[in-house]
Amino acid sequence: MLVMIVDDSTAMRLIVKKTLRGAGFEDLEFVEASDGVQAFEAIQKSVPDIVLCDWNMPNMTGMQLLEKLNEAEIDVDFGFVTTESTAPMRELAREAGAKFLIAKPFTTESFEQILSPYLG
Amino acid sequence: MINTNNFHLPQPEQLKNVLGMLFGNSTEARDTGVLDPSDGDVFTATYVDDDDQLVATCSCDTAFAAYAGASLSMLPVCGAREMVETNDFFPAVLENLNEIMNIVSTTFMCDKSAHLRLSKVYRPSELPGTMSQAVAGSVHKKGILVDVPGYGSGAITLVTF
Repeated sequence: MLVMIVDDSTAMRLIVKKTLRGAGFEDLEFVEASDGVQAFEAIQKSVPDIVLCDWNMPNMTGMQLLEKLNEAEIDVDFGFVTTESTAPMRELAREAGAKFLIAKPFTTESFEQILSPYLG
Repeated sequence: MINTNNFHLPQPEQLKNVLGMLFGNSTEARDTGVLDPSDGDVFTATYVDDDDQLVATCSCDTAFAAYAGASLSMLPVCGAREMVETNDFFPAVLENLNEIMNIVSTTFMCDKSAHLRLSKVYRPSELPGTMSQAVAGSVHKKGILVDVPGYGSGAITLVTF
């Protein structure tokens, strides 16, 4: 299963990968992007099985990326891993078509619980 | 303590829980004095609301910046100590500090507060004077000493307006 991790923090991308492995998800391959622009370019070439995306990033935010994917009618399981976890932001994410929102900082348990339907 | 925007001034226990998810369960946090962001060895993160108005800051000393930033990438502790002594920070550590300050943004918000987000992390002596004055004029401040497991202790000061 191909997992795309989109975050402008190199360390956070590593932590997300480590947490996925810690949650027991196996046979994962990863592709990384540091903003929405990079992610959209990569997705146009090869659509991953799932996108785990930060919200606030330079050049193109996670929400803008999701809107571009919707406009381009690219069907991919998309969710946020972000500090933007207030109820209004969760509602915005849901309305835009995000499948889930994992709040930073996260735990192995939260990854396991929220991502099992997609990666289990 | 809640200010007029309903932004929450985090207490040590809350910060310990949030930072503990990054640095490990043995992270500790306790009250300490407040930092002056105009000091030459203090980093300051600024947070803005949806109208891009400054609503909160989080300052930290070089020890917190080095230890927290190094911990996130599991860099050697000797390298972190060297950064504290020389004030010469690895780019990866500064990038990590940015992410840590981004995550600290969650501690200011509660169900009833407005929305805020990280705007920028200023290096020592780079915080604009108007922002330093705003921090000096705020009565909503909290100084917290954080023990980063395996590295050492560093101070942060949270301010809301």
